[in-house]
Amino acid sequence: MNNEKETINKEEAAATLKSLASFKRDATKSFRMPLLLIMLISLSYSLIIFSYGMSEHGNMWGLGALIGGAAFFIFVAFYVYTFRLLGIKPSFFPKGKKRIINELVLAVIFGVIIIAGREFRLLGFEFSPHIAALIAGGLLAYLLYKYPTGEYMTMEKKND
Amino acid sequence: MTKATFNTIIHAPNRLQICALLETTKEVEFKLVKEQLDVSDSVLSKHLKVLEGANYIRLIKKTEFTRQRTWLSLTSLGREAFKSHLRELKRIVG
Repeated sequence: MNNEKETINKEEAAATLKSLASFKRDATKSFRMPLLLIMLISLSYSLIIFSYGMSEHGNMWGLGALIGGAAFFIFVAFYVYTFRLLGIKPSFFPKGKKRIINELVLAVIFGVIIIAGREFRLLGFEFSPHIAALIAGGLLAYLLYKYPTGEYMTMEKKND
Repeated sequence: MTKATFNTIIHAPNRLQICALLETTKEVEFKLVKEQLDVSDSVLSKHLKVLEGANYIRLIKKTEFTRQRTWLSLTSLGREAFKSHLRELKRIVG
């Protein structure tokens, strides 16, 4: 490695970072799961939240949550299996402080949506499970589409 | 957080891209890395050997469905070295 430079100038560093960001963006796009699978995972997740919000002793919505949970598990397993065949093993556990914080924040947000959906209905706001399911499903679909590897990517500016 | 250092092993464009690719996943197959980088088997092998020699990546050969597959993953040392190198690049840019 004697012919390799020990440091670089500002312009070279900027160019390296820019090309690396562009490479990662392209790679991230290829790691994105098909839209149909994103929709199925999000819908099954919405079903869990909606069913949980609507469930009571006297109704069957608990079964809806179970069906939603089973469907969610099957679709995620299918995603893992197909990606493994393609040559990618996704990382489910965050590595690095920043990613752990990001994922904890997301876990709290989803937790609040689930609880709020049910609690507001018990307080008399009838459509809160519908809204909670819509928000959670939409948010999950957005995250799966935009950040398939779980990593936050800064978007390319138009003038770059 | 360790000090930002310029890493000549990682800085080579292909090796930088390999680290960037492995950083976002648990493991990636050799064939897919080759396609993403658009390089030949020999070129990729050469770069992987350098990274493996520095203990930055791990190569695991497995036979799945009668097919030999080589999975690549970043070691914790490699992850830290890559992050440290990126921090140094950002520091140079200012």
